[in-house]
Amino acid sequence: MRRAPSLLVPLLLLAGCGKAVKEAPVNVSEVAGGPTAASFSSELGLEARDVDAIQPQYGAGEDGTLAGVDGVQLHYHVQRVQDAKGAVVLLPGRTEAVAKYAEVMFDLNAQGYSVYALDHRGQGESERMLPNRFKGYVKHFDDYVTDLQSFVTTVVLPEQPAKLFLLAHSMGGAVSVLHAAKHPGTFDALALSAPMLDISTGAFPAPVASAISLTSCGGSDGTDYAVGSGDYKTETDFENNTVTRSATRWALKVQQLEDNPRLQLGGVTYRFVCESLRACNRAQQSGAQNPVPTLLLQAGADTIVLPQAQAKYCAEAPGCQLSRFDGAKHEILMEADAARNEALAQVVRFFNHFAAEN
Amino acid sequence: MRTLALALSLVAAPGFAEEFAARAAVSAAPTAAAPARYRLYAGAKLGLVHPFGVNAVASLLDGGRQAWDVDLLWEPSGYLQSYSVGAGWHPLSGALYVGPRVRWLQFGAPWERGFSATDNHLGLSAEVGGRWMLGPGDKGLLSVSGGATWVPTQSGTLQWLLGLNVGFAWRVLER
Repeated sequence: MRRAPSLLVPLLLLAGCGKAVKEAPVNVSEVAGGPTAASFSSELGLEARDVDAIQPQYGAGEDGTLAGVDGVQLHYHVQRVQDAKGAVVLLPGRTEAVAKYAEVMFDLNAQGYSVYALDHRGQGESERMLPNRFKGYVKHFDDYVTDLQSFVTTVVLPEQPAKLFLLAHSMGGAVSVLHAAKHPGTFDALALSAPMLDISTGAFPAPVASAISLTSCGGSDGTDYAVGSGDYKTETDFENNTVTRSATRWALKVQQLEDNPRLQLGGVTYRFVCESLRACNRAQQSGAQNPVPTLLLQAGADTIVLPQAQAKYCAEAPGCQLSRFDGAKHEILMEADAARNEALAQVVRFFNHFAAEN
Repeated sequence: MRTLALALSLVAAPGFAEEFAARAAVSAAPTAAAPARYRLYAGAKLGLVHPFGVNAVASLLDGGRQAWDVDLLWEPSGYLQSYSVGAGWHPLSGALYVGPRVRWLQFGAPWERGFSATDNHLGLSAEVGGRWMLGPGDKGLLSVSGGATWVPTQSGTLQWLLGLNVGFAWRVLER
């Protein structure tokens, strides 16, 4: 995936434009050593291991809250390891609670990384901003970015991690690239799983979907559910789910939400849609401003976000490399073992490369 | 006195009254008013994708019939604000018009938290619609239009915006 240096490079250097030329992205397939897909948790016996090992380790972690923008209380969860190679800040996607990532945190801990996971405002165990707690809402998408920076500066950095990494999924990926453009020196490397850089509008043609949403947002406070959205409903149809091919991980997720109603979240409000459209537009323009080494994991069968936007972003971000997982659905880190564990192996090898640097 | 006497003799002369009345009628007859060359209207619109807007329309007339329009339109919104100038050509010299519009679009409003320079975009629209002059002296202008705007942004979801508008304006000037 390494991009060949452009013929323009020597010319730019001669012209004194050396700063414009970035280091070629690290190729995870060329990083020596490190874990392989077999190094991680598998679906085989996952239910039992979830009870015996993963959840106890999650339960032994530290939970806390911090005040985000407008004083919204944000929940975070920390799972430390001794002599960590670095700290991984974990940002979930929309609707997701950090508790869903217990298996991922378990694996990252096993690879020597402490994990600091943040529940976005309005979801997970963080405070909701509307009386109906099922409504997916945010007043300003930029608040997610500010919340992340607050989390890093008040919770993570005071522990002086050797290196600081960011692993984010979907909406968390959009937050990450906006954060990278705004605070480029914060993280040593980013790993983005199916980042939300443009939204699939599904059955609605994009101009129709954007017209409905933007009109609603312009004419109201946008707190109503968008067309087709509603309160949380228990998912029962694995065969037609759009996020994973792993029946085991899908069932664990559904059960977790049934057992913990406070983690449930419903559909999106118009305001969320409009803020997300705007954020995606900004995120796509921010590639050139992201100097942070970035590994972008692309789900080949994604129907939630648009892969072409990811490819475009990665082509423009100087330190970005794209790794595509053919056939994988949106939640790569919750996918069937083959895709999920190869993705995690790439992430850890990528982080290891920078963790080894002084 | 001689002048007065002459005047009286003329008035008294046979046929004078009829001739005077005829001349007076000719001089008082309304000259055919020159048709207006343009009208200026100010008004507001409702619609999508911008729910609300205020505008000024200059309607250029040819022989009293609509020929060209130029309008300035501000569509304020916290999410998609637009400043634009549009032109309309009335190919049938009636209400129907087609024309382009150039927009300065802002995905967000500058007074909102988080607004950034990357929210500013150029937009190019094509519009088709009708502008009907209504009421006594054509003092009202009813507009209905539809169109599509191309936004050269990287976001595929926002690259094409549809618009549908109904507006009413009031004549403020005619020349």
